[in-house]
Amino acid sequence: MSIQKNSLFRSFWIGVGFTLISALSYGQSGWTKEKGEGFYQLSFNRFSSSDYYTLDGELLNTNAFTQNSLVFYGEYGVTDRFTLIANLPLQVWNGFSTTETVNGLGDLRLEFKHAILKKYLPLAISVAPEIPIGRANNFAQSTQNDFESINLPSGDGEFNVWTTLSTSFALPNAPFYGSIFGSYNYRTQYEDISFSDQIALGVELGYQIAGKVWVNGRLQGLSSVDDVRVVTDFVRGDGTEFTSYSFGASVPVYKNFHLSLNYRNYADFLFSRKNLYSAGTFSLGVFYQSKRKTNE
Amino acid sequence: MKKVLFIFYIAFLGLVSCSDDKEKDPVVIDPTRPTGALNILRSGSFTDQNGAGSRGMAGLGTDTQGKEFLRFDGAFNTALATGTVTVFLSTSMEFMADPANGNPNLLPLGPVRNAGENFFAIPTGASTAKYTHVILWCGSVGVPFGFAPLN
Repeated sequence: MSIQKNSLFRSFWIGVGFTLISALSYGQSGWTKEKGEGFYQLSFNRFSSSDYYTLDGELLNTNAFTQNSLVFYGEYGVTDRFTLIANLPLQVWNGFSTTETVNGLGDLRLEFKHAILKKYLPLAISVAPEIPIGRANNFAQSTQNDFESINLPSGDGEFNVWTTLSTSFALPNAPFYGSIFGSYNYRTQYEDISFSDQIALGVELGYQIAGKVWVNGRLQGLSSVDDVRVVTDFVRGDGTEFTSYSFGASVPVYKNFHLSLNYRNYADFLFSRKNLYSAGTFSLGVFYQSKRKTNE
Repeated sequence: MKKVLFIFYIAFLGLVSCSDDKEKDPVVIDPTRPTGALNILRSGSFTDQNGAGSRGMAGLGTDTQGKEFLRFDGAFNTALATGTVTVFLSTSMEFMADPANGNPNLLPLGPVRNAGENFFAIPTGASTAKYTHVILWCGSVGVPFGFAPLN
């Protein structure tokens, strides 16, 4: 079951309501890797939108905001019950139609995932600190005049920790699985600006076609714990809420190398969109899976 | 000849001594701030837009030299952390750009960088009579952050 990621607009206000690469954009399951097994993916994500939802949920038509990102995601089974996961946007390109494009490294998310139950009902808990190594300030100069600019950071500058509880099932006689998870994001602050904590929920279903192509569908929601009324800092996702849905597929291309495709978009049926640019995100990735050799 | 040179020498000393007169401290005129008290003629409170947190009052008036300024009071604030916010005088509460015709409904006064009291000098020769509102505009994104009527 491939795990893919998309970019998530988590800040800006403009909120631009801008967007940063979010950990919520990939799936969560109750499984951990077996010892020595690995999953390593490089993906390119593209997002462009002029539809911005304010903190009040009002839709604004703005200048088009575009974000492209190149993201590394990896999982490694340290033991049969403990998996180390890393997510690092190697490069994020941000820009408005009226500005230059600026780019930089994103924030590193390290996830420590422990299998509480493995056999009958896979259940895992993970703790994932996001380390703010990305560019927390990156001003894009206007292309319309010489005195306007806007901050489009590739990292949010803030240390936060996601804690996730997830469980999964797989049918014994069919290549079909399902996962469900709940997460709490403990957020801190950036330059004296404190951010509201967040709660995320999600469900994923997957099926393998013809023994080769895995397809999946996901539904996820993000809500802010506090009722954020005023944007303290548009670009860092305070008060952002949304429901997202995505569809993905992966196909083996050469030995343990696979090609993955994903499409993600936003809606309002779990949590209404707030402080968010909304549009589809297209992702194209290549991943490598290393399996533990068996004597079978 | 010596007399002529002597006269020139005395005259030179006189000039030098004149240049040594105590110089008065120069009067520095900051064109971005009003001279003396600003007599506010029209003013209004900001209405926030798009969750930018805009607040405070804007007032249009003249200083003791007759120069026109727009003033934001000490309570002024808006979303300044993300991008440049530009101040416009406008003929309505809505930002109506028409660059092809020279933006007849807008008068740009420049970016606002800080919360609290701000002054914006009205460009020389510009008439403010037709402008009824102040608009805070985030040009990079293309959205308003707030407006204040000038009553």
